[in-house]
Amino acid sequence: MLKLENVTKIFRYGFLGFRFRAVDDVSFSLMDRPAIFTIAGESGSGKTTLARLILRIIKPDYGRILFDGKDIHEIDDRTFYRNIQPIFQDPYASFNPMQKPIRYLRETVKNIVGIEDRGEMDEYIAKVISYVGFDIATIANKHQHEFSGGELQRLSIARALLTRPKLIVADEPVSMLDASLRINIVNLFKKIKDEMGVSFIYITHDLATAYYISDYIAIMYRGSVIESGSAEKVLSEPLHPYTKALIESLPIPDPKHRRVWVQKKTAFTASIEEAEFIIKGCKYVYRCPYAFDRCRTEMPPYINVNESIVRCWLYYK
Amino acid sequence: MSAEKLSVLKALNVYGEYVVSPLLSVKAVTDVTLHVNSGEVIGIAGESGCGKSTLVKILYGYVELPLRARGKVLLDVDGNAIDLVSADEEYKRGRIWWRHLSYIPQNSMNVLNPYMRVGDHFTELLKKHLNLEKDEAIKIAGEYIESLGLKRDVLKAFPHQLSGGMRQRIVVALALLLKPRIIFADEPTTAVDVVLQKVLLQHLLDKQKEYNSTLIIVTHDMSIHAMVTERIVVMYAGNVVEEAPTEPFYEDPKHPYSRALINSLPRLGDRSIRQGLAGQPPSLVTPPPGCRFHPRCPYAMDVCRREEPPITGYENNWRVKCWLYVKR
Amino acid sequence: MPLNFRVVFSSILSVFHALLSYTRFRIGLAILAVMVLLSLASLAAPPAYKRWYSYPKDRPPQLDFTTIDLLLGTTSNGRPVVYIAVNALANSLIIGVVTALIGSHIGLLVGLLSGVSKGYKESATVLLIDSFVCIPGLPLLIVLAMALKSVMTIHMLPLILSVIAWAWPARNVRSITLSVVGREMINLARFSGIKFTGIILYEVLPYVLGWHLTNFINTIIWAIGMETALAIFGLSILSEDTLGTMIYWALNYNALFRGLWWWMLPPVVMIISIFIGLYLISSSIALYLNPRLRGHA
Repeated sequence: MLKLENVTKIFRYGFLGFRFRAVDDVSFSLMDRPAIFTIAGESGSGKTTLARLILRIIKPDYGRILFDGKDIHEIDDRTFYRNIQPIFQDPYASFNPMQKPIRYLRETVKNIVGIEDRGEMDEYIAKVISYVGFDIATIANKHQHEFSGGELQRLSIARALLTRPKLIVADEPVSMLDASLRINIVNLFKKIKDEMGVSFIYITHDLATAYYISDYIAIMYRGSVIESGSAEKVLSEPLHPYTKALIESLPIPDPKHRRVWVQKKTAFTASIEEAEFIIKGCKYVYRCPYAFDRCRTEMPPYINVNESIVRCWLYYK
Repeated sequence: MSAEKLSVLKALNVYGEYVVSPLLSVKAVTDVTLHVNSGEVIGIAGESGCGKSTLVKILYGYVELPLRARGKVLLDVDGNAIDLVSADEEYKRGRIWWRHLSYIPQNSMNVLNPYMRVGDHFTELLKKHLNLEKDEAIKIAGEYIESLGLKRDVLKAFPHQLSGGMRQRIVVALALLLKPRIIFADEPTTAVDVVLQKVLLQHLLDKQKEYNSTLIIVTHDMSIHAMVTERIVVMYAGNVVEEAPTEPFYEDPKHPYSRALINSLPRLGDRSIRQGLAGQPPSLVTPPPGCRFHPRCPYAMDVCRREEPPITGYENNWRVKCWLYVKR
Repeated sequence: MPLNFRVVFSSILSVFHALLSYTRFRIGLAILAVMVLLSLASLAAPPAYKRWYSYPKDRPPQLDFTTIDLLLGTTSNGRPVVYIAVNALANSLIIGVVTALIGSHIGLLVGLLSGVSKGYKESATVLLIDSFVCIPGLPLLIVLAMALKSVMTIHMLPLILSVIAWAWPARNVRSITLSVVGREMINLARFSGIKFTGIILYEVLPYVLGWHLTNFINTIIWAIGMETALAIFGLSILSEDTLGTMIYWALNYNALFRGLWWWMLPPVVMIISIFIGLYLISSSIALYLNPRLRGHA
């Protein structure tokens, strides 16, 4: 369904134009079968940039992105919006505070689904929003400030579902919500995938929710996808040193495992972000305990290891 | 059970409200009583709007309009009990802050002066509180910086030239510099990546043990509390709803809110279905009558809607504020 | 979504109601009301007042109210100051408002387009706007007025002033538009299928309108000031009465030196009053637009 081929995006920041690859030579595929594909990484990993590339908000500098075989920049607007929809991180920033949120649901139905008659439109909307737990009569006249963050995010999801998309790209959809509400949203994703056959690209830095709902996962570090595969496999048997470090560092809500977590000492590292971005070799080399010469000079290729894909010289035969 | 520890900080019936207008105020903290013992690691947990950040500000003694505080916060200073709520700011600035109490905020730029070099932050503290000469201060600062994995020339840089992670390390170092007796950390690792989070928390714990200080960690992240704290205090809508030793708490939380919170947390290696809470926290301008959690509580009874529950105490310092545990 | 006039009207009313709670708005509105009423009085002026020497020259004000004609005295041209003053006020206000209507709306259009365009088109608009903002307005207008002196009428004056008047509103609108267009909600609007015009009208414009109103009022002030400046140089329409030409003629006849204070004082007082009144209104709108200051007016 979705295929990324060597996608690269270059940004520059700072007065003297320090250029770096926010997304560096990323390739992966998403099949037609409904699945939740997580792209995980810390801040600066490029995951949000990747989301915006897939959503056509920005254009890649190299490489291409194909949807059902066609380059996404050659698909007409209406077809694209019918098939791919976003959910953004900040529910309050998603909707224009000067308008009522219902407007965007109505516009989506009018412009993309093609229903012009107000009565039919509202009927259609009512069915979809009841799925996320709303009743159209109560929300139709409310302004944005009358909703809570969790409610707005559910409205965002409802709006995305209106076009019956094949793919929803959710960029950190729960990081601005309280922990006790996150699981509701994430459960909703699962339900939508199972009952409506919609695939998700779930962008997050939270490995716990990623494990909870994902089928597949790709871990990003400084713009490169360094490991990907089935979520179960990658998160329980990590291959790449960075993935291992991530999983070891993750605190668990279970004090019985505290001893292990506290006692396994990790040292401070003094790596500088800029240096990591511009290096020619593997970007993790400054922090990697297994680094050797080749890591500094050449970026490892995509290597298959037992159905996972890793970019690490340790696995090169 | 551990021996009776000395109370180093006592909060008694503390109230905190933000005054929005002569008629409206947000009652962020309502009637909180807390005893903090010397040398312990205690966590204050809760979600957005529960009042934990406000409580920490009051405990630290940093109360500025529009925040107004009532009640007593007694700190043991050289044998005397000083009330931080009513104490003079000059006194706190000169004698208490950074020395007896220190504070690590979520955003490092709330502490670092953008016009001062990093090194100057260290030397200023060392000169002011320990009367050290500039050269000696620079030497100590340099050693400290290196123990955090940063290079010495970081001292010459200005805060904006460093990454967020580096700045947070520096802020932690500054907070620990004068070996304070109580360290307040308000979401110290929220803005930092997972790997650095572990390193920073380990470092904090090591120093806490070394100096035999008290560490008070405030965060919404229940996983951090599980890994780091000995005792946990759960807040909801301005009240303390439960206070318990950490390990038994996670196994069997008593208050319905704590229970819902623990149950909603996914963990690696476990795909069993979890449920979250419905609804959202109440308005703190006009809080609901009775127990503030009753609109969302699956066990709400009639009395919960009318009267605020009293606090029920158990052995091993476990306290719950819930009608379910009140014996009739 | 069609433009719902009832909604628009009621939101204008509610804004007005909110503004009325600001003291400075009430004062500004009062001053402006007085000015407008005075200018309406010009309709009652007898046509004779335009003719030179229809009254005795240089008469000081006669405050006995037996005759309105001599209430503020006469000029050295033998014309009653009171009628000249109210007519001048009316004409100046009209010039100001017409210039603002033309100039601020051109500015709105250019600013909006500039805020949403990218690449070389954007650079071109930015160059255009910034050039006109930086060019010293008065010298340019002096040159234009001199060049067009033979064909200039009082109706052309607002057009000439608009040549410069559009620039600052354009810059202001551009910066608001830029900040709105960079926000996530615009992406959501696109994914809802809303197209270019829809985005400008319903997503961006609500943020811009408040500033557009402030720009409009500021342009009125600016235009009246500019016209007065041109008139003092003798480059306005000297055969018509505006606050500026009134001052011109008074200066020409050395009114102050000769002690004819009643000729100089009315236009100066009127200009100052208009400026203060309009400024108070404009700044109360700006205050209303800034949510953080809203509680403090």
